[in-house]
Amino acid sequence: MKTTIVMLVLTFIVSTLSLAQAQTKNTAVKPGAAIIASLTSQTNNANSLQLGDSITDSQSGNGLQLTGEVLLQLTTQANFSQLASRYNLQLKHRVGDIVVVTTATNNIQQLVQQLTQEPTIKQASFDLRELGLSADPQVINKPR
Amino acid sequence: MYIKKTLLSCCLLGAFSSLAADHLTNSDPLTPYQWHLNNSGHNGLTTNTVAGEDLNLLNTDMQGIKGDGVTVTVIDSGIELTHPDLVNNVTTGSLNLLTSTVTPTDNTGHGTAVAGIIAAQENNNIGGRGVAPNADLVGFNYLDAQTMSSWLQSHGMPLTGSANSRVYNQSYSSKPALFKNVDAEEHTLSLQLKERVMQQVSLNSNNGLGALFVKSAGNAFYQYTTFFGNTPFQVFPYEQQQPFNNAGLPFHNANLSTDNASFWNMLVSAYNANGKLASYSSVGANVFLTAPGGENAQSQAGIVTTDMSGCAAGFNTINSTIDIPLQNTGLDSHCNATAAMYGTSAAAANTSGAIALVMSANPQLDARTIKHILATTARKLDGNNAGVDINFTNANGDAVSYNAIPGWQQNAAGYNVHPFYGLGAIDVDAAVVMAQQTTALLPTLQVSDWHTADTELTIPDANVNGVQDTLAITDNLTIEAVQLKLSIDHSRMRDLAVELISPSGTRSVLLSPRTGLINATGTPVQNALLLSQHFYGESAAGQWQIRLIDTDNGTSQTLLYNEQAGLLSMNDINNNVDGTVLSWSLRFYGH
Repeated sequence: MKTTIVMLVLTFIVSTLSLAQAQTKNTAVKPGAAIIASLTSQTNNANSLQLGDSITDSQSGNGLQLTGEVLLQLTTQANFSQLASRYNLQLKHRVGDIVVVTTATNNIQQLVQQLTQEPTIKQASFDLRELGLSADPQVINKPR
Repeated sequence: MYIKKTLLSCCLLGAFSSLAADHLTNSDPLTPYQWHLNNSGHNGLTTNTVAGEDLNLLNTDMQGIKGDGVTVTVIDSGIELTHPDLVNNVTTGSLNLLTSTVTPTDNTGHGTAVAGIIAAQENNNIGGRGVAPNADLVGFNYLDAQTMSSWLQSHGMPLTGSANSRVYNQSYSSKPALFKNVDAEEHTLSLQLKERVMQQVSLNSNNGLGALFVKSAGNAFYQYTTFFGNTPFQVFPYEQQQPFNNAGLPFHNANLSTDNASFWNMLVSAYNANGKLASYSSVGANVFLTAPGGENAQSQAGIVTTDMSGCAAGFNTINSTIDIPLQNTGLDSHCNATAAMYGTSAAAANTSGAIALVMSANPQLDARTIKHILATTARKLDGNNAGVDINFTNANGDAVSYNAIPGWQQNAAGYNVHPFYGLGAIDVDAAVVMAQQTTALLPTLQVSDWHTADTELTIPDANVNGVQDTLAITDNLTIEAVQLKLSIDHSRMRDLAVELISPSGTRSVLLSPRTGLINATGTPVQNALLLSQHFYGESAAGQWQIRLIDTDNGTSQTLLYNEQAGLLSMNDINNNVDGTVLSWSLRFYGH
C-alpha cells in the first residue's frame, strides 16, 4: 500500500510539472466526458475483487481502493463466533453492532456477497479508502 | 475549591493583562520567526508580516498556561518521536499502523512538522516552540495505512484503551470531484461507524469530558487533484480563455469531502501572516474557525516548526531552496527545523495547540463547552472582506450580479460568520479568560431527526432569482450546526449556488457557483451532505428557506490534466434542460 501511495504522489508531481510544459506547448484540449466516463466505469462490475483493487464511487466516479477489511452490521441474534468460524474471519474491532474483520479469502467481493445473504447480518461491505486522501501541506522541495 | 481556583486565576490574569506582554520570552532561537505565536510585523525570514495577526496567546503564556495535562493525538504521516524538540513531550500511545510497533515512523516530515506546531518543547535552546509547549503528543501514521482498523485505532478507539487524548489533529483531506451519495451502499456502513465512534469519543471519552476532532479544510482554493477510477487528474478552472481564472471564487468546496460535513469535525481554514485568507485555503460553510497557516516561504512567511532530524530528511534538506533563508540565519545547523511548512495542515495544528491551552486553563470543561468558548471569543479577521460578487449574463441576455460569497455578517445570535473564516480567528487569550470564568457546561447535545421536502422543483437556467422552497421546523434547539442533505438533477453542477436561509434571515452559501464539480457518471446527484456553521447560536424553530441559483448560460469550462490523457475539457456545454431539485432535508445539532 505504501508503495502505491508513493507511486500516486510521484505520478501527481510528474503530472503537475508536466502541466506547465503542456500549457507552454499549447496542447490541444480534448473533450473529456467520454474519457472520464470510461475511466469511471471500468472496475465496478468485476466479479472478483481483492485487497488493493480499485473500484469507483457510484456517484462521483472517484477511485476507491479495497483495504482488505470488511465491515459487518450484525442483528441482535447474530453469533459472531460462529460466523467467524464459518467464513474464516478475524475480528479487528467491534463497535456496538458493527464489526471490522479481515479474511484470508482472496475474493473479497464473493465473500461480501455471501455474508450479505446471512440472516444475522444486516449489512456487509468492503472497507474502502479514498484515493487521493493526503496530507494538506503545500510543500515542494525543488532541486537547488 | 474549584470556584476559588477559578477566581484566583481570573485575578492573576487581570494582573498579568495589565502588564500587557508584548513578546514571548524563551531561549529557543527560532521563536522570533514564529509569527503565528506573536506577530510583531517583522517575523518573516524574507518578508514583512502584519503585527497582531496571530493566535494572541501572550497573556496566556505569561500565566504559565502551556497545555499541561492535555494529550494531543497527531493522525498523520507519523512523528519522529525522538526529535530533540519533541521527545520530552511524547507520551505513551503512539502506534505504527503498518508494523504494530510503538514507533510511527514519519517518511515525509509532515507529521513531525504538525507535531512541532502543536507541542514542540520550549526553552531548550532548540528550534522554535509549539503553541502548547507542555502538551503531550501521541502519533499515528494513518496516512500510510488507511484502513478502517487504522482509522479506529488512531481516532480514539477503544474508549477503554490507553489513549486519553482530548484533541485529535487531522491535517489531511480528500478532494473528490463531486459529492458522495452518503446513503449509497458502498458508504453507509463505514460512515455510520465513523459517526458513531466520533460521537462517542467527542462526548464520552476522558471520563465524560470528551475530545475535539480538528481537521484541515484542504488546500484547494485554486485547483485540486482527484482520481477518476485509479487515474489522477489535476483539475482547474478555465474562464475567458484563462487557466486558473475562477472569477475570485473558490474552486473546491470544503464540504465536498464527506468527512468535512460531519458535525464532529471542527474544520479550520488558513490565514497568512498578513491576516488574509491564505492563497490556497479551501473554504466553505462548514469552516468553523480560521488559524495561521502561512504561505509558501518563497513568497511570504511560512510556519517555522520542527523538521525531521538532519539535513537528509524532511523539508529542510541540503537540496531545499525554500529553507535557504532559515539556513542563512545559522540558528539551525542540524536542519532540525523548517520554515517551509504551510497549509491548512498548519492551521489545524495551530488550532489543536490552541485548544490544548484552553483545556489546560480549565480542565473541568467538556469538549463541547471548549468549542463554544472558541466560537464565542473568535475575532473577526480581515474585517473589510466583502465577499465575492459574480457577474453573468442571464437567460434573457441581461447582465446580472450575484453575491456568491457573502462578506462578514452577524447572525441573529450575534456571531460573526464568513464562508472563508467560519466564526473567525482563534483568540487564545480571550478563550482562556472565558474558560477560566466558565463553570457551567453546555446543556446536553440533541440531534434532530431529518426534516425532508421532496417536491420536485425546477431550477431555471441562468436566473439570479433561482428557485426557492421552505421547511417549517418546530425543534426548539439552540443551533450548534445544521446539516443539509440534497438531491439534484443538473447536468452542469458548476453553475449552481445553494443557499440556506434561517428563520432569522441569516444567509449561508453552502455551495458557491464555479465550484469545480465534475459529474463523471452523468446521473443525478443523490444525498449530497453539507454542513453549515453560520447559524451557530440561532434558534432552529421557524421557516427555513433553500434557494438554488443557476449562474451561467455557458461561457466557461473546467480543465483536467493527466500526462497520459493530456488536457481534457469538461462542463463545456451549457445545460440545455433546466435542473431539478429532487429533495432536500435538514438536521440540527444543538441544545
